[in-house]
Amino acid sequence: MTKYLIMENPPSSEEFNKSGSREELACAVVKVASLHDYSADHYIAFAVENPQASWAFLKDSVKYTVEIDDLREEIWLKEIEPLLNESEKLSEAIAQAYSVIFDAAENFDMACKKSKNFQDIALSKDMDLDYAFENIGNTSMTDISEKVDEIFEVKSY
Amino acid sequence: MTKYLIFNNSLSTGKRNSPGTPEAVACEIARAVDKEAKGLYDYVAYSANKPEATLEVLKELPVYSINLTKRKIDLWHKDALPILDKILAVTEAIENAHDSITSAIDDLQFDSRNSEIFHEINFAGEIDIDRAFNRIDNQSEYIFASMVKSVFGLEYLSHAQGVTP
Repeated sequence: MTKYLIMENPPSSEEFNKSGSREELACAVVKVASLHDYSADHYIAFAVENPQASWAFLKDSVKYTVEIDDLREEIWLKEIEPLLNESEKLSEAIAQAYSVIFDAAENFDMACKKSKNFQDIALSKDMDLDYAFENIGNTSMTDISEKVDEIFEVKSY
Repeated sequence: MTKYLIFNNSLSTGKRNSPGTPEAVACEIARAVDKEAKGLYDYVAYSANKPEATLEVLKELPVYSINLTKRKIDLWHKDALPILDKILAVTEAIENAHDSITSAIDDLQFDSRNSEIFHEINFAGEIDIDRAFNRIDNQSEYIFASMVKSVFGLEYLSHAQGVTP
């Protein structure tokens, strides 16, 4: 098992996690566990035995630590990542649903405004769409985040 | 002005008004007002002064009557039909939205049930989609139906049994 140290990666930095590396995985884990919507490059990770990790400790710039081994990597790839994709698809479906209904209601309202006999009908303000969608919150990301936090022993500093 | 009598109908009778005729418009107006009648063949109309209307009355009483002029027919095509199209679009958007969210929840649930780690979590538990969609207050069809009835003077004949009396 290897501990990874995660720190912020300034935009001016020319360092990036290697694609497909465990360092990149460590940053993805932190992103999910912290529920932050940062870009993939917002953090950079170093294995604890990496000399740069010592520097990070000395500079007190470590934000998170995570534990990764073969089993945890496999769990991430086979269980967590597919579920994250489905969770994102659900969030997209909810956002898209709201937008499609709202647009259709606005189109209806515009057609009514242009009409001679049906000008008084308006829908978009009266259909309580916001109120209805309050009941369709996607909390799956929070559930996944809690498990990720537990499995990868994420610690924040 | 011509008076049209509108009768209940079904596909099996073989009776149908030719599209674009005043009789067909009379049926379209009746369908827009009736909350249940949605099929093309739910109604058939005849001009009240034509023998077909008399023959039909002998078999069954009409459900609605309506007086139509060319101005009213133009009004139907140019003013009411575009709004009816938009109402149908709203209804379809709501149905599609419900289906796409339900499908996304099902996919998430399927993956979680097959997961060793997440199988105990009920991801759908927090999402009460039916309750949410019941709260969407789409009154457009009802308000439009009521206004169409008034604007076009569709008269429900109380002795008759419509699709929705």
